[in-house]
Order: sequence, then structure tokens, then C-alpha cells
Amino acid sequence: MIKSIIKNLPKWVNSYGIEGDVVISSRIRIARNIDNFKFPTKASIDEKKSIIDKITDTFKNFNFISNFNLTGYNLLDLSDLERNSLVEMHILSPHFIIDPYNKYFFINEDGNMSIMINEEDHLRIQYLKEGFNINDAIIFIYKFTDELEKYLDFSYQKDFGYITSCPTNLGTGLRISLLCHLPFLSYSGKIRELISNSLKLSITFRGSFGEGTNPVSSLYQISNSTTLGKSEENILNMILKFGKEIIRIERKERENIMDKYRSEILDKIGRSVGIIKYSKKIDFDEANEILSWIRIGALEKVLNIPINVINQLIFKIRPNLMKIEFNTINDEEIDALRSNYLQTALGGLI
Amino acid sequence: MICDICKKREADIYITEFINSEKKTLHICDICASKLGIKGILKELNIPFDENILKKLLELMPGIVEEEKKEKVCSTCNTKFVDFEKSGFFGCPDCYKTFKDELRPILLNLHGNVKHIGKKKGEKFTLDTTFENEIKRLRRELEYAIEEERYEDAAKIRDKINELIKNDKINN
Repeated sequence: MIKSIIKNLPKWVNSYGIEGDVVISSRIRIARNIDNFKFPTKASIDEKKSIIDKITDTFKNFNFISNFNLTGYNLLDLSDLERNSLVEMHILSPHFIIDPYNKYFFINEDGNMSIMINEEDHLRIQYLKEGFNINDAIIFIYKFTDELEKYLDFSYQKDFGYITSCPTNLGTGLRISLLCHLPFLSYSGKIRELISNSLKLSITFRGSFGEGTNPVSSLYQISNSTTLGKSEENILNMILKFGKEIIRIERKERENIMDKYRSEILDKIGRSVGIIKYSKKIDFDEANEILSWIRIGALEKVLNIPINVINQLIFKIRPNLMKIEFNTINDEEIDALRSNYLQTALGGLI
Repeated sequence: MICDICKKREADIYITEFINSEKKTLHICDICASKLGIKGILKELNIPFDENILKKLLELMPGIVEEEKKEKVCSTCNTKFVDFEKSGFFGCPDCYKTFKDELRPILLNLHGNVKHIGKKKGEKFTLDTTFENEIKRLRRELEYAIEEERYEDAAKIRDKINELIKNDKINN
């Protein structure tokens, strides 16, 4: 199952959602810990094993596996490439795979939902949906988490709410993030002002590729920076409001820039097509840059390529996923293989 | 050393003063120190109230309190406050009880808040924006605001509740 998800990508990557021109995906993550156990950062090997047993037993005994179509994996049973590929697809966190011992995760059949055991917290439950679709995602994830709360004694204190190993997640343990493609706000430079203003609004706005790695051009992650002292609904409404505003200003900026600098933008798109058609090597950064322009071309209907195909490529060209695709671990080969891959994937379309 | 004031609890603060080369030490527990305040402590030491001494004490006291924080250990998982300061992680849920006081400024800095107002354990999350639910949610927020002496916020929340009730009456 996991091999097929790595090969075919999760459903949210393959689909084009509401307001999908700007928002690629919506992600909800909930952190929970089981009371009377040390956090994974402090727990002994035996304690970590019993946490895994406790959670997996609950999943099995109370039909979570069958009701949510989950499959469980011991992280050690996956190859290094597979683990890193799952990070590139946002299914696992970079922190989770650093030390693969005593780690376990579940994934549902379409790859949209994943549950990490013994990450920073005992449980990290996340659900991703294509496009700007937080409401659906939050209802789905709480249906799961609230049901689970009937069987697992989650650590909770009256004043602090749900207890997490790091106080940054304390309270609701809720993080809502939007993965956005903002090429026009980046092009005009207005993105810098937005990033600095977002801090005041309890919003983290950062260049994406997940957490802590190099930003991918024009891809940004927007998420709530506070989890305590706000209700789940407050956090949801805050991200909804900010998300709507981002969609509005990115579209407005697109209109302005296409109006003023149309020929420059068309030139960039044309050059990107040229690189895909005739180059022999494309490294990761260049591929991201090119795909960002190709995506603009498709949005502007200059190119006849479905947006979800471009979204798939944004993930497929990532280093570990490329290595899996071509069954190689040779770093030097990858750039040539990437160029070849893009030519084949977009061959009939450009 | 037993506290010189209450003669019951273990003393946490030692204040030594040399007056005319005579050494005088006062041993005070945390609770008595906070009850007495600085003026009270000076009175106990038989030192006339003097701004310079006050300044000196103020400089001294946070240092003492700081030292104590760092030495506090969670009895469940043996995590010290310095461990948390280094790693950013606590060891177990009980750490939140052990380091409750030390956490306050940290939580204020991170979240601008120190109290959970989200869903309680056992409650189901609903995206319910009906009138009853809004009122219930606002009343809970009002309760917290009053409890935390955020009276300006409380007034705003109260106005919002009144407005909702008024609108509901008009609509019905």
C-alpha cells in the first residue's frame, strides 16, 4: 500500500480543489499525548514500545483501522528513500524520521490521513485536503480524534488544555496550514510585507518545503502560530479569514502584473517550456522555478496543461521521489533523469 | 534552616547584612517573604527603610528566585527547568504542574495567553455557529476574561452577547 502511495502520490496532490489556483492544499494537524506516560523525547525504549502497543491495540480493537481504512507501518521497515519520500509528500514530518527507532505510523488508503506515533508527541494526527478546504478537513480529523478520546486517556489539564511536549503546541494542539502558490506576490516583492505583517496576526508565513528545509520558489506555508487561549473555532476562522485575503490579493496582483508586464511573463513561461523541451539536466531548484512559471502559463491558459498535473510534478521532481521513480540512489544521475522525466510528463502538452 | 518568621517552613531566602561589622542573617521561606514584602523584611532585620538597600535587595531577589527555578526538578520524570530551557521540550505532563509559575512568561510570549479556552476533554468538536452555541462560547470567554481581570475584553464580550441577544429577539 505504502509503495503505491509513494508511486502514485496521495489523493490531495492528484486533485484540484476549491480556490486551487492559489491554495494547493489545506492541512490540519492535532497533537495529543497519553496521560501518565513520559513524552517520546524523554521516554525509555520500553516506554516508547508500550505507547506504540497501547495505540495500535486501540486502533485494532475499536475498529479505527477498518472504519478509516488505515494501514500501520513500523518506520524501521521502510527504506531510507521511502522515509524521505514520505517527508517530501508531507505525510511524515522531518523530525519523525531523524531517529527511525520505536516509531510507528498509520496511513489511510488515499494517503490524505496519517498518524505518527512517537514524534515529538505520542500522537500526531494529520489530514490533508486539496485546495482551500479547511472546514471539511477539520470536521473529518475531529471525528477521528474525538472518537479516539473515548478509548485513550489523553493528557489534559484544566488551565493548559491538551498537554504537549513542547509548549508551542499547548492548549488545542491544533495547527492548520495552507500550502499556497503565490508567484505574483513574490514577483512584485509584496510578499515580504505580508510576511512581516502576519507575525502580528499570530500567523506563521514561511517559504515551503515542509519544515526547516530550503524554500521552494513561490510556494508558501501559512499556519496559526498560537494554539493556547483560542478556541479551535477561533483558530479556524483566523486561517479562513487570512486565507481568503491571500487569495484575493494574489489574484489582484496577478491581474495587475499580467496587465502591465504581460510580455515579460509570457517570455518567462516560454523560456521555461524551452528548458523542459531541450535541456539535458535540471536540478531541483531550477525545476521548481520552471514549474512555477509553467503553472502560471496554465492558469493564464497560455499552456493547455491541467493544474493538477503540474501539482503532481511539483512533488514528483523532489530528490527522493525522483530516486524512487528511477530506482537509483545515485545523486549525479538525478538531474538528467529529472530533465527526462519532465520532458516525458509534459511531452504532449507543451 | 527553618524560616525565622513562621518557624515552620524551610527557609528559601537568606539575607545577610553587616551592620557596624556585626553580621545579621535572616532566613525566610518563600511564603513569608511574599507576605512581608521588602519593607517587612527590612523591619525584621531592624534596618531603617532606605532606597539604596531597597535597590540592592531588588537586584538580589530576582537572582535568588531565578536560581531556585533552575534547580526545581519534576518528581515524575526528573526534568529540570534548565533541561527544558536547553531543549524546548518537557519530559512528561506533570512538568506542566511543577513548572507552572516559570511557564507563565513563556506562554505569554508564545501565545499571548496563559489559559486554554478551546474544547474540553470529552467534549466533541462541532462547527456549530447556532445562536445558543455562540452565546455559550461567548459566556465562557467572558468568564475567563473576568477571572483574568481583562476588564476591557470582558466589556467587549458582554456587548457582543447583548447585541446577539437583541438581534435574536428582533429576528424572532
